[in-house]
Amino acid sequence: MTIPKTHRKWRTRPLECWQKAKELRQRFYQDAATAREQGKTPVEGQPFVNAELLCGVGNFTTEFWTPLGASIAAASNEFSRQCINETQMRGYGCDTCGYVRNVWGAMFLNLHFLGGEFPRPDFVLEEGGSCDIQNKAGQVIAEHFGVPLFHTDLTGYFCPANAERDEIREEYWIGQTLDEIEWLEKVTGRKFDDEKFSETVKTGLRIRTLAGEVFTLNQNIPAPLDQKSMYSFFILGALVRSEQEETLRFWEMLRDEVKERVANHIAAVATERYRWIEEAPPPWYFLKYYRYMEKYGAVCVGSPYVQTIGCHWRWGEDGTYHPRENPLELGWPLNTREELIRAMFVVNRGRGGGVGRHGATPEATAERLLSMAKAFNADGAILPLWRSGIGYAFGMREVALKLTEAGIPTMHYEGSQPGDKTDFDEAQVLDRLDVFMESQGLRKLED
Amino acid sequence: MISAGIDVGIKTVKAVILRDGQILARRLALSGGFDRARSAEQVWGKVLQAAGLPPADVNRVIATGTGKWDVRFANDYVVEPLADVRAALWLFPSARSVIDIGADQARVVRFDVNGRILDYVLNQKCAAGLGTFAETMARTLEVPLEKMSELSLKSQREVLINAQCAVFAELDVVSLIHNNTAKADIARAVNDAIATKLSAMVGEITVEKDVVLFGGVASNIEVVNSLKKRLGVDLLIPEKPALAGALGAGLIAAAG
Repeated sequence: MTIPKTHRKWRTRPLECWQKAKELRQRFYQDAATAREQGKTPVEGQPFVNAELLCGVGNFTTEFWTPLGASIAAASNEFSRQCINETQMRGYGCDTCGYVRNVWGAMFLNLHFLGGEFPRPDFVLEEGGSCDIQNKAGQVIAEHFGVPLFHTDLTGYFCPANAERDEIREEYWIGQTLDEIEWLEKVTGRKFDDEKFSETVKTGLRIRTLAGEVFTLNQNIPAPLDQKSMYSFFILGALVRSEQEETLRFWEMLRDEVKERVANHIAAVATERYRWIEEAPPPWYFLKYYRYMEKYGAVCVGSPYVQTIGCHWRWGEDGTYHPRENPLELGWPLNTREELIRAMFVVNRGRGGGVGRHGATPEATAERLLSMAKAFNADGAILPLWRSGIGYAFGMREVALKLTEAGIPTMHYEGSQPGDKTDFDEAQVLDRLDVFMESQGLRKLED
Repeated sequence: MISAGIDVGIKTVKAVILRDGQILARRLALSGGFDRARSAEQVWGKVLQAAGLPPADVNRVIATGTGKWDVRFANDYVVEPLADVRAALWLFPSARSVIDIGADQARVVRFDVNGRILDYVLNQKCAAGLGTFAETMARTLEVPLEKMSELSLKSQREVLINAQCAVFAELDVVSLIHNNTAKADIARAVNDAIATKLSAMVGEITVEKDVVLFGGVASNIEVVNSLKKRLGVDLLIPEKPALAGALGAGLIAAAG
C-alpha cells in the first residue's frame, strides 16, 4: 500500500528500543524452554502469581501460561490447532479458555512452540481470580507432571468498591502469601532470602510505575506508540518476569524515548487522524487488524486491559491519567515480608473490587472506558465479544451502549477466545471495520 | 448523467442503472457459484441490455455488497449501510431507520435527514433470522422459499422452534416433521423465529420512525407482519426491496 505524502500529517520513525524488547521477550521464552540446561529450575505459573517470591528461593524461570497460550496463538495457527484438538480430545470443553487449551495441548503433546520439549516444572504456582478456567489451569499441569502445586486464592467481587471487603481481601491474600513462602522453603529445601526478595519487589514496583509513565504518554496527539507495539511491551516485568534489573533499564529507556517522541511530535502512525481505544485481549492470531486500521489513518491508543495489567496508574482530577505513585515513592515502610507483600498486592492486584476489569461491574467498566476515551482523545472504540473468556465479554454490550450514548461510536467483533481462532471470521471482521470507518465518513488513505 | 449501482451478495447479484437520478433499468440474478466476478459481469450485461445502453455510456459505477471487491468494472465501492441509507431516503424522504435483511447479513441503521449515520448494528456470526436460514428451513420442509409465506397463512396451531441457532432450528423442524406436525404450522413457526431474531437485533439500537425494510426477506408477508407486531411500528417497504442496495449505490454514483 502506498500512502501519498499528502496524507502524512506527522513525522514518524521506528522505536529505537524495539530490538531490546524483542530480545527480552525471546530470552524469557528461551530461558523457560531450556531452564534445566542452564542450571535453572522451571516453574509453571498463572500470570498473577507471586513470581517475586521465587527470587527469594533460588534460580528459577517461570513460564506463565497466559502469555504462553497467547504466544502459541500468535506464532502458529497450525500448532495452536494441534494443541487445542489434543486438549479437546481428552474431554476438555471447547468453551475452556483458549490460552489454557493451547498450553495444556502443548504439554500433552510434549512440545514447546519454540522447538524442543515442553519444560517439566518442579512445581506449579496458581492464583485464583475471577477467571474460572485459569483458577484450575495449574491443577491439570501439576497432576500431569505429578508435581506439587500451591494455590493462592485471590478473591474479587462484582459490585462497587467496598473498603471493608477490600481490607479482608488484602489481609487474606497477604496471609496466604506468607504461607506460600514457607511452602516454597519446604518444597525447594532452601532458606528464603529476604534481601533478594526485597530487591526484586522494589524493582518490580519501579517497573510498574515506569510502565504507567509510558502508557499515559499516549494521551498526547499524535500518539507516540500504537497499541500493537504496546502489546509487545506491557507484559515485560508484569506477566513476563525475568532479568528484573535489565527489564527496569529497558523501561527507563522506553520512557525516555517516548517522552522525546512526545516532545518532538513523532507519531507511531504518520497518518494519524482517527484515534480509537479497545478493551479485553485482542485476537492474538489476527494482530494485523491494527495495521489494517492504519490504512484509514486510525491508530489504537490504549486499552484498559493493557494498562491495568501492565502498569500502575490513576485517574486524575484534571480528567487525565497519570502514573500512580508506588509504595516506594509514597514512603511506605518496606522492611518486613508483610510490608513488601502488601506493596505487591496494592500495585499488582489493586484495591477496589477485583483484578483489573474482572472485578468491575458493566457500569464501572463503561465509566472507565469513557474516561479513557476522553483522556486519550479517542474518536471511537472497538470491543470484542469473546464467547469463552466470558469475564471480558460480561457487560460489553452495556459498555458499548453507554459509549454510543456519550457520542463515542463503537463496534463489536466476535470470536471464540483471544487464543483460539475457531469461529473467527477474518473476512467478516475486516468487512465490519470498513463499515465502522466508512459510516463515520472515513475512506482508506490509499492511491 | 448515467450512473449505476451493483450489489453483489452471497446469493444474488443486483444491478440498477439510473439516468439523472431516475431508474432506467434494474436486474437481479442468482450469484451462480464461486465466480462472483463473472456473475457480476453477467448481470451487468443484462441490465445494460434492458437499459439499451453500451457500457461506455455509463459515467460511474459503484459496487456494494459482500462481493463488491469482485466487481472489476466498478469505479468505486461503498459499504452496505451507506447504500441502504441513500436508497431509504430517496424512496421515502421521511425515513430515519432502515432494516436490511439479506442472505448472510442483516443490519439496522439509524440516520438523520441528511443521511448521516447515527447508529447501526450488524448481525454477528449467527445466521438465524437471515435469508440463508429461511432457505434452509424451506429446503427441510421441501417447500419453495417463495411459497413459505402463503403456506404459513394456512396455519391452524402455534408451535415453537428454537429461534437462537439455525442449526438447532433445523433439528427442531425435523423433529416436528417426525411428530406429524402440519407443514403450515411449521412454516409459521419458522417465520416467527425469523421475526423474533430480527426484532432482537433491531432492539439493540433505538430505531426512529419512519422505518424502512429492505432485503429479500421483506417479500415474506408473514415475517413482515410478525416483525411489525413485535416492533410495534409500521414498516415502509418499496416495490423491489431486494434491489435497494444496488439502487443506493447507483444514487451515490450519481452524486459523484
